[in-house]
Amino acid sequence: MAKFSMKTEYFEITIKSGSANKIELQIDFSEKEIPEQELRNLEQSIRLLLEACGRFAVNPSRR
Amino acid sequence: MEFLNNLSLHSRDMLSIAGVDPKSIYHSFREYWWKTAPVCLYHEDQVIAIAKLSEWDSGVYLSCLVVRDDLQHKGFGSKLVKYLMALGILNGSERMYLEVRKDNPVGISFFKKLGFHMKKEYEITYLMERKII
Repeated sequence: MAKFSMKTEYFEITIKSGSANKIELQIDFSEKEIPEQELRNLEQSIRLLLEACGRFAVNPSRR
Repeated sequence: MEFLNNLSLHSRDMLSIAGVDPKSIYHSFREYWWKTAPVCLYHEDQVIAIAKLSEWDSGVYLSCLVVRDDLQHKGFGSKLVKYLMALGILNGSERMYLEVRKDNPVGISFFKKLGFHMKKEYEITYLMERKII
């Protein structure tokens, strides 16, 4: 069962499950090339998901 | 570490949380319009933390964050907030907002460590803000 899904005109990302040592994502891309800003958004959101589900210690002030 | 290995993060219907009356939380959720379901942090099929996001202004508003009393100060709250920041970004939001009571120094310190800063002062709360992208 999909837990969260978000669709833009460039991709659809689905977070299928998340745990302390595993995250299951599905990203379906459209035909359109992803603009730089959209790519940064995707990168940052995946980074946060890694911090949320993995064992990473990140100082937020360094971002 | 075994505890962390079995931890799972996902959204589903509200369940009871130790030390908190689930009905009171449920009713507070219903007072507003919400776009997403409550996000719960589970361990062994028990909710250990719960949070809620709504759209607000140009960002998302963290309207509730509760961590079970006996599991506080173990990093679960910050994991849940980071998860919600990611959902906020994917939702197209640039900022996250929340309100914390002025008489809650632990909460204020917690959110400052997560990169939030004071944006506005109300009578009994501070409005805090963080740029998420």
